[in-house]
Amino acid sequence: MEVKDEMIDEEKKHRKRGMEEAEEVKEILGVVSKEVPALIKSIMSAVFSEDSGRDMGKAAGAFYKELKESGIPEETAVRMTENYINVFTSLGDIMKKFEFGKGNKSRSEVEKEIERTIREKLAEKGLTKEEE
Amino acid sequence: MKASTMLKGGLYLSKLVFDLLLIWLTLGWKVRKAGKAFEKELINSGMPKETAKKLAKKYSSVKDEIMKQLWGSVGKFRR
Repeated sequence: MEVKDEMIDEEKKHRKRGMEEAEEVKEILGVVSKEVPALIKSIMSAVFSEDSGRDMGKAAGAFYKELKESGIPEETAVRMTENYINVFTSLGDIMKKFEFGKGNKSRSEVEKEIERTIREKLAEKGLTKEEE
Repeated sequence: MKASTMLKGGLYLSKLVFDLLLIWLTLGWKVRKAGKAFEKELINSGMPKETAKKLAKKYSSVKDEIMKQLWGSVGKFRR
């Protein structure tokens, strides 16, 4: 009889834990579905909007004009302007830096940082390694 | 598991997918517009039309680069 009660209790606990996890997933999805598209939109509009295109064009045009006025040959001025534009548009390179490849050094640094932070938080709560 | 939790989770997920799809669909149009504005400014500053066109194409190619990077990241994540 006792064994049966224990089994029922265990099942109830398991079900409760499942419900809590589902609630957590729902909350996470709610935040992610709002924040992620907004973040991507703002990044994209910073690079790909009519205004940003015009501003970049103005900057590159002024750069080219100055080069020409100071007597730099056409071909060199164009090449230098091209390099100047590359500075604005090197988003791909930035993204590569944030990417975690296999055996990437930055990944291990991030892992170490996360581990250190977790340990600090556990220490703050007064949990020792044995208690973990 | 509550049915309302499942339903709400599903709704959030479909909203996320829909928003991302919308961003992807409108990106091409935004890039074209930005590229044209960019080209116009270069021409205004005295750059030859052909060169300005070439540079504007380079500016627009950033979109392809970003998409390539994103798909690469998705591929790595799946592996």
